[in-house]
Amino acid sequence: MLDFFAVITKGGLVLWYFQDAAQQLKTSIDAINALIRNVVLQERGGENIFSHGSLALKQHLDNEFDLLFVAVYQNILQLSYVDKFLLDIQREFTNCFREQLRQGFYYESFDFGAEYKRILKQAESLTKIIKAEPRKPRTFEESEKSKKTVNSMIKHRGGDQVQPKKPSKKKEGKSKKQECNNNSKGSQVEEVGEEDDEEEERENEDLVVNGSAVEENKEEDVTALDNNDENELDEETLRKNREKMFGKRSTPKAAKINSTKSPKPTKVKKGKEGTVWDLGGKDSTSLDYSSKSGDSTRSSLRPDFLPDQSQIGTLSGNVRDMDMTKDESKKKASSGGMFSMFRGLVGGKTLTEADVTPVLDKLKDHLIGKNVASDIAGKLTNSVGEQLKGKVIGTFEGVTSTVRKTLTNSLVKLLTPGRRLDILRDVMEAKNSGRPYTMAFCGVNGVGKSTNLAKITFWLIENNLRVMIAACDTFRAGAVEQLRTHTHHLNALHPPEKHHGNDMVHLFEQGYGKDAAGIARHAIDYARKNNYDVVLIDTAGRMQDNEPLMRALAKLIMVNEPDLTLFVGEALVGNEAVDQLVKFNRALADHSTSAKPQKIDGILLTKFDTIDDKVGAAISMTYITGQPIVFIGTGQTYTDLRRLDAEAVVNALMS
Amino acid sequence: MADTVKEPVMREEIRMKKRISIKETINNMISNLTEEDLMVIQVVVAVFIGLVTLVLLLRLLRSSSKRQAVLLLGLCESGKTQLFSQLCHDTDVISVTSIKESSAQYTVGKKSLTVYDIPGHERIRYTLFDKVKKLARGIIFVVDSSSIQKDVRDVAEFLYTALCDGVVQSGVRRVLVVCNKQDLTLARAAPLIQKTLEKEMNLLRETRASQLQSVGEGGNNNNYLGRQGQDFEFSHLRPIKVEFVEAVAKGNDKLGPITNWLNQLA
Repeated sequence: MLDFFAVITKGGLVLWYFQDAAQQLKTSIDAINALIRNVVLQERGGENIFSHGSLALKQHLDNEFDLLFVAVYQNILQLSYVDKFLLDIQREFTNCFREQLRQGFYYESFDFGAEYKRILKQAESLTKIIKAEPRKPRTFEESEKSKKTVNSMIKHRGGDQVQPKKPSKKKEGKSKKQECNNNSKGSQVEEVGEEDDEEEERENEDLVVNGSAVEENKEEDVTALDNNDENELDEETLRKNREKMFGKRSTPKAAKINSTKSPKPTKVKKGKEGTVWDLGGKDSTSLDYSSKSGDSTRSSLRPDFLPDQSQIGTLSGNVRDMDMTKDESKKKASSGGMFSMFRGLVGGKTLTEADVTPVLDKLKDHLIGKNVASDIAGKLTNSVGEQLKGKVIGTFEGVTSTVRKTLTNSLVKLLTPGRRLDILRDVMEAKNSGRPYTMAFCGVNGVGKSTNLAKITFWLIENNLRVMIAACDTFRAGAVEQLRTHTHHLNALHPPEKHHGNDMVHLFEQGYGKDAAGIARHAIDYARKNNYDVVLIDTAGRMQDNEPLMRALAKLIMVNEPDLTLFVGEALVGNEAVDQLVKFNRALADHSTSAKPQKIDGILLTKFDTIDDKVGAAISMTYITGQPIVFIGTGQTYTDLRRLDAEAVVNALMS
Repeated sequence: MADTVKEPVMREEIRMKKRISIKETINNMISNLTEEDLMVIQVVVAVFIGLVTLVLLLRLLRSSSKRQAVLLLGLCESGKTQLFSQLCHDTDVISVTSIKESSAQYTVGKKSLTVYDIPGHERIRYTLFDKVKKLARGIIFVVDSSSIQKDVRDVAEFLYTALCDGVVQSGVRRVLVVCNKQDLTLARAAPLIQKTLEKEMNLLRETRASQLQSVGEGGNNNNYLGRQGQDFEFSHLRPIKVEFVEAVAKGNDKLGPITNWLNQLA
């Protein structure tokens, strides 16, 4: 069932592979390359499955010998044994070739075919056995009922047990409604009407039960009564359901005809029934809510309070001092390990999950304290944990320092851009092809799109490039005026006289209320005709949940195909960053009609001067999109624009 | 009989006397020494030990700082791991994207060089390059000849960064640019690739100089390569010598120029 399986070193050599006859080697290698690029290098090692086209890939790292085990199979199959299979193969392979791997003799041949087939057969037969077993019903011990205490199941005025029935009945009603809808659309309204009436009836019946089953303290009576009522109810509902079913089955068309012919009469219920009032039963006994046994103390006792006899007498005398249990445990750890300290220093120690988990938890809290989104921090620490399991640390290295170093490396890897970032060079390239370089800015409200757009304009005109600003924010009051003010300032700083009479910055606007995508398209055409080098598209801020606005943004991006779509996010954002980016990306992908939709290409991190060292937002944003941070805004003047330095940010993060 | 018994006894006596005499002389010496002399002796011994350790340390440091390595750099999929396996182990391998650097010894007669294969992926290449650049004596930059027109900007950026680096400029004297995958139909010849790269690096040094400042304290690390006012040429990079060769990493036949270069470097 597995199409391809390979054992790969971290240096890129394929030590051994097994290939199913139908699969091409090249496609498998391509899939593995994609896996490495997306999972391993983007620190998504904690996630389980990676899909590439029609193939699904699962990987497992062996940190002792720096190996990667990859299993490739078809996406439609859902093989449950692959995880355990990877572990078994890892164990077997490392046992067979321990010496070779330890000394790094990767260029010898590895004969693993026979063992692989054996383990695969084992795994497949095991799954067959598990599948073949019929699903047994749960034993009483496994059921939820056994976990409840008896007292919690006592009816409290009969309301507890009856209420859960109500939603189930309503579900029945709804499902029937759906059936009706499927069967006969014409009689929909009538059926619905019937349903509602029936539900009312059932409710009334419930209340009858309610009224007659009030007594709280006589437990047996109560439960007995309720059982009877349950049975009664069940019978009644069964009767009614049966009627409905046979009624439908026998004459579906007749029912239709009947219903279309006479809508009004069918609204009236079958026969006349006495109305049942809210207060239910007419018996005086059913209306009597007083406690029957006359024991007032017992009636005030909550039914789920079980007196703990062992507590009596423990708090007599003076109140005791606080237990400093935390310190005791600490002392124990250090005293037992006077020599364990030295043991940690000398000799290679293999890291286990138990060693690594406490350190990782502390680091995760530290990251969250530095404003990294909480689930991103969790995923990162999981991925680092995967990289450390089974790793042998050398002499003079402690567990904490190794984990910190690995996490630091992962963070630097995450922040390092995955592609070349040279806007000026790309602008030159676009100029050579005779078209302007377009950049679109999108983001939620108030993050600093227009301000940073002006800063980027300043940087571009400092490098002798002519910029056109497209005012596609046609919603916010004053947006166009703001951009016009910036244009005036920038033109004053770089007047046309110094640049051969060409104005360096031009604002393209069409007022308020117009369609943003159209304005952008016209701006790009105008720029091409008049030899402008760069077009910066300023869009309106929008919340990620606002569907029509997200659709409008997706349309703008799809129609104009900017070279760089920048998501502008502020560094102060916390867990919201995850939500914003995910939804923006999804909107851009969903509402685009092309096969390969354009998503967010880069991130602009603003208001960086307001955070001291809580730079976690950078990590959250790059983790989610996988795209690099192109610019950083550090203030409100034109010169406050910076480039990201991964090492410096990670230092601030880990300090 | 008495003589033979007497002789060992006499010998013992003589030995004991010698021992005693040595002891006596030492005792005499020590008793003659004043406190100052003792101190002087202690100081002399300490200085001697210190000198010995210093010499040993220097020896160690010098041997580690000696540049004995050749780095294999290049973009992803350019064929570095293949070339590495061919040079050091004489075999072809099936390879995937590397995540970690690999190293091996390349022996030329008595001398040997350590060859480091640095992964080409953009996220990890610079950190791994920084780790080993101080050991480098030469750099082999592998270029995929068939996709050079498409990738010229990425190739030039990496090559420029590698050549700009301070450690490289101080220690590395020879750079070999290998135009790999010459067996493919679209492969360009080495002189053409050289010209393309020169044109690209010409543009690149302008844009690199105008980059934004970084957000950390690290300043702009972009040196200007080549000569001002003239178009960039690799010959301007004296004393670093940049050569271009063609090669096919698969199979063992076309690696002659590379092995020659390595032999010259060692």
